[in-house]
Amino acid sequence: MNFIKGLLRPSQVASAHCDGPCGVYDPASARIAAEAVLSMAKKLVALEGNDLATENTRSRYIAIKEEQAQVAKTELLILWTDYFKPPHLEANPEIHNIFWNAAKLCSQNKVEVSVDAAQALVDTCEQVHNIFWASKSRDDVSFYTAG
Amino acid sequence: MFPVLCSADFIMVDKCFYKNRLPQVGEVVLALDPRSHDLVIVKRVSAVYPDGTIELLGDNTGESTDSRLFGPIPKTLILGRVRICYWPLSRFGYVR
Repeated sequence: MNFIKGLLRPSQVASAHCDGPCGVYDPASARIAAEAVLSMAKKLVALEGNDLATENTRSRYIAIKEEQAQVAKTELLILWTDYFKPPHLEANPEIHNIFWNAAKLCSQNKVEVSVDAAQALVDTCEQVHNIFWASKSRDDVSFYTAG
Repeated sequence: MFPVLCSADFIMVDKCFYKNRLPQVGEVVLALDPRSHDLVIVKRVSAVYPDGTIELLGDNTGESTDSRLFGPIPKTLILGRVRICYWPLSRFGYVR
């Protein structure tokens, strides 16, 4: 049967569902990045000293905070613009506001060193987690943090 | 395009079907993704506008990325009409 299937295999592949053929979306990617931002904010606030080694550590923390805030924003925007569709918005009119606030929090965390803002970003990722899995009628995926 | 088409179905496309005609609402077409022309998509025609642009929707509306995201597309991006699903044999038949 596989031989016959091989003979009949088309020369071109088409995608019938989403942007790419994978269709895999998961808000966990954004949550992990948001947790990294929170971790870096906490470490930056706690870091003391101005010697060269400390300055090097501080700059690494800042770079990671910046990078992970951008990762979180990218992952959130993918969910917002690619996964969520008008029927989801009808079911939950707050979707646009939640993602708007989440994207703004990502920007705020790049600009500032604020544990409160970083925690707010993680909290918003939990909101995204809840609406995402509710849209799939799944109640068996609990929100958790790795940190 | 579930349930009309499933992942890994083999389909036949009539690439001459739209040489001299516009797609009609309800037809399943093969098209180039307007955001990335190296991606080929299968969608159903949901509207044909007076300016000749074509609105495409996936049958599985909850999961589909279609004209609701990228808007109506020009006819030049339509590659043909999907006519037959021929593999697996259990799903052999016209695509409607």
